[in-house]
Amino acid sequence: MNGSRLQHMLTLGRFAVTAEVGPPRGANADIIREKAARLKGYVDAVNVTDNQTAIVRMSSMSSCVHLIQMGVEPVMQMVTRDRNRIALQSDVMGAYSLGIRNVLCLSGDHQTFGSQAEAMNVYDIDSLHLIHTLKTMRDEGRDMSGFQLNGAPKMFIGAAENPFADPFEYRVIRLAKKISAGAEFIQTQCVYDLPRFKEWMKLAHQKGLTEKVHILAGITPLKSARMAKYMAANVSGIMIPEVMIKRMEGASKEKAAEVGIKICLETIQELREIKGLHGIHIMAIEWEETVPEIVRAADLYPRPQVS
Amino acid sequence: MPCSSMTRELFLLKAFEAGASAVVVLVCPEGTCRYLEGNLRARKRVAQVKKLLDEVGIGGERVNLFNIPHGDQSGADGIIQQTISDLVRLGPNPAA
Amino acid sequence: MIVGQQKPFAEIKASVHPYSKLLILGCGTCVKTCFAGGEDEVAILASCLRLAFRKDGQIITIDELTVERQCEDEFLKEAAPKIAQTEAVLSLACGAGVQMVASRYAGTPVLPGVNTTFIGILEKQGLFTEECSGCGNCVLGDFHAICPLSRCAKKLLNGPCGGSQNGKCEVNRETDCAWQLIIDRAKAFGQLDKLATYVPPKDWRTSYAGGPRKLVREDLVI
Repeated sequence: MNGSRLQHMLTLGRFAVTAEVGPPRGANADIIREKAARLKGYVDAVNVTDNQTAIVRMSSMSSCVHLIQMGVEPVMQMVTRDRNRIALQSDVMGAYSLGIRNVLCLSGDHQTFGSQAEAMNVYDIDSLHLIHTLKTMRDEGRDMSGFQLNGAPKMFIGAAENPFADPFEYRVIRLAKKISAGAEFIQTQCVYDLPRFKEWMKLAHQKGLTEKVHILAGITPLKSARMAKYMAANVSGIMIPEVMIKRMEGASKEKAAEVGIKICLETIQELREIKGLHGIHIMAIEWEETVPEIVRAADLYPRPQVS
Repeated sequence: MPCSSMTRELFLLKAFEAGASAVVVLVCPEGTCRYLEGNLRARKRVAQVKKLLDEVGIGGERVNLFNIPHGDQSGADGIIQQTISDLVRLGPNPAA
Repeated sequence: MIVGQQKPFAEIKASVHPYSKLLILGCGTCVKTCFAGGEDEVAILASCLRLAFRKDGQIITIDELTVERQCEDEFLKEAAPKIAQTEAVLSLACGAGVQMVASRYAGTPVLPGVNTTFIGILEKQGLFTEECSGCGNCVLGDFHAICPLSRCAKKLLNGPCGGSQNGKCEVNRETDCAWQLIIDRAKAFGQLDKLATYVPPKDWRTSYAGGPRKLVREDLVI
């Protein structure tokens, strides 16, 4: 055990709950502390995004350190869009030395979506390479050149998967690839289309993958019909069934959030019955205050104490 | 020219270089080109020259394409009359 | 071929504005085939510049010449007499050609008239697509002849990413997802299982990241 509470929880077979925060667009650390304070005690770990959507924000690593200082366990997200292998390995070592124990490996949204689209991208390595590198650093104590490290970072290695992206049949092959490369936990893109998600889980289960990796299903509560329609149309990799959008549209403006949370709780209930699912990952970005409510109502509070 | 598709951008530009204030390109009605797409190609090229003349600063309104059946003399006369009266507003070629 | 597009007219006009004698030098190879800098394009640009400068009341003499290629001395030397008589050269060649002119005619200012963009193909008339980024170590054989470095926006060797939807790339919904194409082709050849194998990181030393490259053919150098 490397000191990751999240890893400990999952290894013990407990249903895990994680959440996510986005750092501020500036140097004001109070923002990240406020968000983390709302989540503390309600989740097992908190993901910190890495310049998500290619919008320039306070770095993931530094934000993770702020979380550690508050007694909240972070999952440091790392994208390969902005840093080459040299910088990424360097950051992993530094992160471990600062107490970070969980890393989620991603390729990252393309910079053309972001706040500085003129920037050059890196993509020196992809997320599979990063997973593999973290595994090598942990198990062999070596970096990508084979150099024996003075102090091996032993991270709990995560990756993302999107059961709602195409090509569908290849997604499970890719999941297997990530597991072989060293992924130990998976957080999926947010689930609205339960039938499709269950289909993907079934395929994963059939291939024995749900025993080899801890899968956590992504959840994002809908705030309004407008949000639902916007996400369905504009955010790549998100599918929202028409019936769900209609439910949101059917509610009045004041009641919309309530309906959104109700849908969220129904989804969680169905997810908990899926064989091989080991947790949920609540991405209530800029709506972190709903997380405690959701965790309580879903009967997932208090979080188990693990030493 | 055997077909308006033989119209090249350069011919139209050379006309303006030689001092023309307006150029009119007459092509067969769409669907009747004996070479099938000749008049469509001519339309694209005239559009390109319009764009170039705007960028040059002379004004793309000075070159225009019209669909007119072969032999329609009165139609052709009407187009030319219209062009001459447009020139009263546009003025002479500023690069003449 | 190398694909490029002529620079916007306003930009070209502004760059040649200081000169009273200009030679527009075209190239008959790549830029001709993408209609950016061949003989015809030289003539049209010359005509437009004359009209524009005349309208402004500025005197400028514009000469025109197109050589087969500007990237080889054998063809470029034909331009020597005209270059000797001009004040500046506006080259419509790709960036390589422009630089060769400057290298062989060091005393004459040389300006680019084309934005050189990519190595690509003519998909159909009027449509050119990027295919190759010159990485220096071709691995098309591992990807069923579809390049993930040039045609995947994230250069993924173990793609696709989570943004692939309906076979299109998240960056541009009109661009095919290269990984969808690779997977489709693998499936068609019954080799989808091979794509489950981890592809290790690229050695970028052979690419432009390794610094300006040179190729020496010992068998050809005397």
